[in-house]
Amino acid sequence: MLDFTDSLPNEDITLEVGDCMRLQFGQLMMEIERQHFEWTISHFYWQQPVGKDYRVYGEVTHLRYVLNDTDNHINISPRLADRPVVSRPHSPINLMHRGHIRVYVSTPLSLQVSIAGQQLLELPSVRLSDTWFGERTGPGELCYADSTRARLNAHDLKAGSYKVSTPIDIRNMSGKALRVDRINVPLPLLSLYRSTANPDAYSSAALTVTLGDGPADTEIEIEDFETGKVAGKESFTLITAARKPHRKQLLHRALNLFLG
Amino acid sequence: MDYLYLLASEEHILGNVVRALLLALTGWLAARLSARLANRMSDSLISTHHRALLCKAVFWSILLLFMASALYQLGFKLGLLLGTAGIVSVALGFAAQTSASNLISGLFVLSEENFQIGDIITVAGTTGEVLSIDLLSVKLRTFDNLFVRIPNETMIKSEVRTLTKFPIRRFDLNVGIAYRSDINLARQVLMDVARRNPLCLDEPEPMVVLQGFNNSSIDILFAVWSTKESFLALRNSMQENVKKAFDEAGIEIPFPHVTFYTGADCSPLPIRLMDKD
Repeated sequence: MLDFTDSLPNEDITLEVGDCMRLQFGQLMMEIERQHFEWTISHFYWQQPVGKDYRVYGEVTHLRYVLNDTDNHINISPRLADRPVVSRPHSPINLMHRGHIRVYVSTPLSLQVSIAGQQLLELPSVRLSDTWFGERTGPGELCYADSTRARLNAHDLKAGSYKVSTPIDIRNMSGKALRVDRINVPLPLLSLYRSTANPDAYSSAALTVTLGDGPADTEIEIEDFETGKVAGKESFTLITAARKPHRKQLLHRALNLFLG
Repeated sequence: MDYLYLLASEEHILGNVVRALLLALTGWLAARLSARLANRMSDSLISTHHRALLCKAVFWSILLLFMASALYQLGFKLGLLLGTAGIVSVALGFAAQTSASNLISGLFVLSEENFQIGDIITVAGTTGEVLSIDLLSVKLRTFDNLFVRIPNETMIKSEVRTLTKFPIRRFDLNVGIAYRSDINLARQVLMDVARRNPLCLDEPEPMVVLQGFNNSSIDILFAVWSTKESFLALRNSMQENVKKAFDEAGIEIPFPHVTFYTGADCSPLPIRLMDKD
């Protein structure tokens, strides 16, 4: 029995017929077993009620995948969430006129399980609730909701290895102070990287948001890291490219939704 | 000689009829093929509703052109035909007022685009999925799998509710609590129920509104939001969760009580204990 806790294998795992592996990643517990021409994946989520020292376990889901290929390699890789995450700082940030900050927002990763090049399933490491992000209940976007400390220093992040941090530069070039009480992180537009120094540390591409007085002065940029190149003080390796390409329309939409 | 002339004339008529039939058949085939082609080409460009409209427009335009050519082959003069069609349409208009009304209503229904194929609508007390939007009627499939045809005139005259127009929906739960129950505790319990239900959206925020003081209860409106896809699941789970949470917190949901009034003296009802033996 192979066992992984809050750490993912860097390479494919080899499982012989009858072998089993167990993985705990965030709140996700997963067990994978290989049979003849069949893989069985069981998973469930646990929760710790606020102020309690015990865990509540959710219902177990059993899934069976039948394959003609008897490949004994299974690949488990991290991915960014499939929808944007609306993160609320524990206390709102007021960014003064011509102010500039870099905040680090951490969000839970998802896990993608593939066998013989075929994706079997993708599961989030933490089950986040849904939220609607938009000015009104008509136009807007369905996102995941999360809370963040929106730390100003990357070293202060206490993110577990099931979390990824997104560096966000916010420049307030408008004539008034900006109140940031929620941040929409457009994860489907971002690539995922792993730190070369610490394989359990993940980062997404960086975002730079410049907010001016009008739409013409306001823009959002996505800064991808080059593999091996030092970004800040760390060097990163690309794991997965963005789910959606950085098209201008999508960037514009992300900007409209960035701060609500 | 007359016989030969008659024979030639008959052959000419027969040839025209064959040509007309061929034109009609070709037209029908060309219209069908063009409609299919339009459907395939516009697959990812426009909505299902607009695609259905485009296909119908392409089909009927091509078919009408070929039919007009076929009639011309048979010796009909198109100008005269159109004039006759005008008179016929007036006559038909009087004779088939309902159909004409449905037809005109259908144009408004199509142009207004209040709903599309696949939407869930409620009209004249019937709720179902829109299967097709035609010139005379709208076809629905109800949740118990019945096929319902609603004339377009009814669609124009009635209130039509599109339940799947917007991506999110609000579920309103009216619940009453006993007068001796703590309102603040009830509010807290309801908000906690919303927070724990994964189908309930964080934003727009759940809402607890005191509706008023009823005969035997304090009425509360508990409004929560979900995606349109999970609305039914939320409605089911939320009512169950609220009942359980109220029971756990000791909050009473009152129900009507019946009191017997035994007459002017209001003397108590006599009770007799019966022994089984």
